[in-house]
Amino acid sequence: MRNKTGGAELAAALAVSRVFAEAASLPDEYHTYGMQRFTVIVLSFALTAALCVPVYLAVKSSGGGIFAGGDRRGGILRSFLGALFSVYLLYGAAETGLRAHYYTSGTIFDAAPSEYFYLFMGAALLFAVYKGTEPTLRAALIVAGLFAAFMLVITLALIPDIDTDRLYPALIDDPESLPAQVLRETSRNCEPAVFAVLCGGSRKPGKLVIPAYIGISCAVTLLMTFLGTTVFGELVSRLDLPFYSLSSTADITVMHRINGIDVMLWVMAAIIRLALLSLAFREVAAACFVRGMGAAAAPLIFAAAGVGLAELFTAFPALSEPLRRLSGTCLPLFAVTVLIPPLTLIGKRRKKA
Amino acid sequence: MKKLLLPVLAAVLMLSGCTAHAELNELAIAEAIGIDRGGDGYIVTMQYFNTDTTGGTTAIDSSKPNAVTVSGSGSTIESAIESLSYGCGRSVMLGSAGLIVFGREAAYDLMDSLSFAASHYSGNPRAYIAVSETTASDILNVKFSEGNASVEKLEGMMKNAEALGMSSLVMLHEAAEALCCPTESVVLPLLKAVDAGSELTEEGSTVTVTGAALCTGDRLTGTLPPEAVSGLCLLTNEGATCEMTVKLRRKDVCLAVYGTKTKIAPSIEDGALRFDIRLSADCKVVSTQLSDPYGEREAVERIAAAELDSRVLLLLKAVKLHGADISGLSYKIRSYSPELWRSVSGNYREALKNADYSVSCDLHLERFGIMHGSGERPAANPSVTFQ
Amino acid sequence: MLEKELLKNIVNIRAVMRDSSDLIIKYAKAGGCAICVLTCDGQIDADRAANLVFRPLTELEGSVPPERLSEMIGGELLLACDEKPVTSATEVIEAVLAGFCVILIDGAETGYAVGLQGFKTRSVAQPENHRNIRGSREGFVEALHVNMSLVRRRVKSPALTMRTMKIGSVSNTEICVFGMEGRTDKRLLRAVTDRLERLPLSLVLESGFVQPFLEERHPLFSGAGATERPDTFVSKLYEGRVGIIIDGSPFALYVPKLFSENFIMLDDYVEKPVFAFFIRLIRYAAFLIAILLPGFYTALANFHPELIPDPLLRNLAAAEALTPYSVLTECVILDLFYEIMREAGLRLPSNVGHAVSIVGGIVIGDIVVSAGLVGAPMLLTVAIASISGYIVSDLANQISLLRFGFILLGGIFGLFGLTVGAFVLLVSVCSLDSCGVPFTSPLSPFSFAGMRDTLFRADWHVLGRTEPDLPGGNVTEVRGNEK
Repeated sequence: MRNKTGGAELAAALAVSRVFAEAASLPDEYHTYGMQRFTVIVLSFALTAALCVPVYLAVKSSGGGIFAGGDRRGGILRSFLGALFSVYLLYGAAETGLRAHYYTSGTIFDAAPSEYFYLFMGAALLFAVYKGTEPTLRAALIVAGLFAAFMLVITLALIPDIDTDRLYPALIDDPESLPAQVLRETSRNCEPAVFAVLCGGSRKPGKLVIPAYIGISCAVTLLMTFLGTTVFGELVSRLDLPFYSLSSTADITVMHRINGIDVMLWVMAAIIRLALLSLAFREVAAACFVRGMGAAAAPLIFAAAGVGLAELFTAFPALSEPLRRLSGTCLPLFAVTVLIPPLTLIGKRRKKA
Repeated sequence: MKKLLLPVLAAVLMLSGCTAHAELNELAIAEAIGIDRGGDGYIVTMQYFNTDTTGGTTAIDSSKPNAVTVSGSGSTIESAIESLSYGCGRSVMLGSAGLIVFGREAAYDLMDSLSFAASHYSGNPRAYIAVSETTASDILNVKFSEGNASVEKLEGMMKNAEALGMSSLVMLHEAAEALCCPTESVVLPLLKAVDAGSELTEEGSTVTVTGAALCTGDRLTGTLPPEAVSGLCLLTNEGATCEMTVKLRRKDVCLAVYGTKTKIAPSIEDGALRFDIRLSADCKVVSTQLSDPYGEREAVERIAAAELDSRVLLLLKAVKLHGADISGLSYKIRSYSPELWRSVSGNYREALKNADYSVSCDLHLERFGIMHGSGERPAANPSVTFQ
Repeated sequence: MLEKELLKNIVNIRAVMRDSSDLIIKYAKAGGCAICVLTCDGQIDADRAANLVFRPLTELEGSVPPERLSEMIGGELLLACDEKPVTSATEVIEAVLAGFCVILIDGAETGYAVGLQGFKTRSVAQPENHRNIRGSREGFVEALHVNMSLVRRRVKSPALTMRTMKIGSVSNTEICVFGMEGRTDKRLLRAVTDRLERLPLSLVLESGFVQPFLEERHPLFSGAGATERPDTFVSKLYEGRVGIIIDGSPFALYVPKLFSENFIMLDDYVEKPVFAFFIRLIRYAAFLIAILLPGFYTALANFHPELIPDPLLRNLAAAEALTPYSVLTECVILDLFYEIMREAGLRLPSNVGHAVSIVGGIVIGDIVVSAGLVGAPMLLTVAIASISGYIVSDLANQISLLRFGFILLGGIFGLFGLTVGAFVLLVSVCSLDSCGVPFTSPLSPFSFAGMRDTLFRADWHVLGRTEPDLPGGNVTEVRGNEK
């Protein structure tokens, strides 16, 4: 494998992937008006940073992705851990597909029927997976640059509508709901798992990837919340997709509103997130389950399964409800960040011994 | 790759007929929508751009009527729009509508009507909202011939009314936000179609902004007098301007008030909510019957401040009467003391009704212009000799 | 091997050359020996041949043994700076076809080839492409040695290395590989030379024949650059690239080439940095406009008209109301028509080419709109996109194709189609490496050092202090293009 992609690309890809989950919220993730939302975001990213510590240590210790190296055929433990990890990734892909579908059907892309949505998204995703990690990460960095420009434009366009009276000096409005909100917010991060596996493909897995990813994601999420709160006030609680509504409100003269650009960028972000999860699965599959041609086909099957599951979740919300509740407790995220990385190291050391 | 190219191209071309879209010339580009109550449901009136008003190749010929008005009815707003769409033989494009007018009856069910526009994915959050004194169709049947679009004239009128402190200008997202606040109250401009022999329309009728409508708790509660509306503008818009005429020694002094700054301090006294409102602003003389208004600066400032006091109090009277938080007091309470807000938010409307309001206004008369001296006017016939 | 008997050698050579008409064989006597001078018609300078070869040989008096005569020709007799002994018929033929004058002596087994190339070449002139406002007006010509001298005149240093070789089993085209000692990665230089040596082509007429063998396969973009300008070529060499000039082509190649280089012109370095930044920004914007604007317009008009500002939307609708075709059809027709005109204008003689532009301007610009076939806004959109495409002339072909693709995607699937198309294009471009350097560097992978001369152009005070380097890092691996 060529190692030319740097930490900046990986950090940008992870940040784009994370922020997508923020913009495309699902029906039970409605934003609420209040300063507690800011507290929730900061605490959730602090928790995410803490969860990334064992991942980083495991990555540093193994000198690459947590499943890299060792005997590829693996032992039972390794295969078991790989399977658990893969299930988490698959759920992440399905949830991302669900978010993307919900987002596009509620916005101007409603004009694109569902079958084309899956056909085209699937084609783009398969292309990215076929091309591999490096091109996807490089593309993600460029998309991140476009995002930065877009955030700047939308902020400038909305300055006349910002009313700082809507901010008030309180950190916690409802102490009882705070822990649950923080956990649910944290559970939107599946990026530490992606980092645990894909950092082997970057030139410098580096100390800065995680801080950059956490910092950028947190800053962008806070900015989005700030804009939503100060422009819409109490209305933000009633909006399905606050950021989409913000871009619908932003008039930049040459365009009546910029929600078209907004949706274009989020769809790209969705594809990047799905591609990252698929590529992460490729690494796990190649390390634990299959070899040769099988390893090449694995991410394609994964991507197809993810999109299929997303469609199933869309059609039968009751099916996804328990899973989403479980995910909201952050237990799966704890498992893939705190438990699995150290255990993979134990497996490797045993092999070496 | 090349083997794939041909099938992909063929697939793309074959799929071209499957995507739903309407050509620009098949669209009814909505400029304004009017919503009235009628029968068992709604009557929606739409003013859309007439694409036949072209002169030469592309320029719009504004000498011809550039707006067509059509109506449709149905049990819901959506079904009314569908019937309207059949009527005009075009696909309706709501996203460009710059004005939504509610008839007086429809405004009695404002939130339901608004949620239609607010929740529509291609809706225009920056569309202006207004209420008609009679029906919305009365307003939209007045078609102005000046300009690119008829509705631009109406928007201009409403902006001018706001600038003069006669009415407030409210966008869709602002109205929706106001209706989401605890007291669900919003003040909207009130329009009226009048037969005034205007040369701007073919029929001679025109539209005037008569004041503001107060909607509280999802209901049209009543109207606000223009003085109360100007009080609202001064209280809610930092830097707002308004004009007012005061009398000093039975002589009129017309003042322009600008650069307003408000400070609202809420508190609880004897279990009741209390608001101490301090309003400071600058003003200048626009016209006067006084010979030297600047020489009587203090008197002018005192009388003008008293007038401002009365305007704001008039507004607060409406707030107290209806328990309608139309001046965004809830945000002030929160930013002043979140604790206080928690204590009153459970029964906020009643708290507003029982609240005490004290207002003190401070005006500073500033002098502008080309005249100099301490208020001495130049002589009517100055004896200037040119040599 | 040559034989001692002159006639046998001549018969042999004529047989190999199939009695080719351009082989000129002149018999004479020198120092009492029969000699024969072989040249190729039109390849040598006749005056120099008469003065440097024929006169000294024919004026040689007395009787000289053939072996001694051979030594004298190779030594003191002739004053040519480029001469070499030839000992076989194959060498004789190669030398003759390369413009040498070959002297064979009856009784000697060694002949002499004297370099007297003097064929007609185009004089050095301003290049057709990559014109600049301030700077040299010299462009490469078809003759390799002239081009080599143009490069050498700009770098009078032994650090500049040139290595000539022959490629094409039939054409035997001469080619020169350039490098800069201390700057060019030796592995890259070796890899390029190896690839050229293993070139499977028998006929090489233009540098474009060689270009695909120096880059990774990609349907649209090329990882090898071509330039007509010696100054640009030298600056690329100085940045550590490998240059290749092919005899018969005025386009020099260099590898690796990055995407951002398409937006850099020589004029940027003589203007103030702030102007260079502004104009580069314009070029990037023009590229995006050229490929996306018509597609974006059709997508908005067909699917998302609410994004268009109201006054403009009314104008567009009014214009479209007059036309019988759909927006997509109009756009496709106009774009195709424009491509046809462009191709016609390129291929026709320049005096007829003007007629094409006049007819095109009048027909498309006026009649089509006034006849109500196409709306004026659509015409304007396609025209702006077309003009923008010329700003980045190196990517003109790619732009034409991409524009057409985005028109179809936008017109059929709206912004969703554009999004997916743009993403696929982005990943595809990002997947391309040029001789081991990511094609999209230094934008992605991002490099602060590379940014000093990408979108911004740092001041010469800064550029002069820092060593030029390939943006995106060093060449770590050269991937082959095995076919």
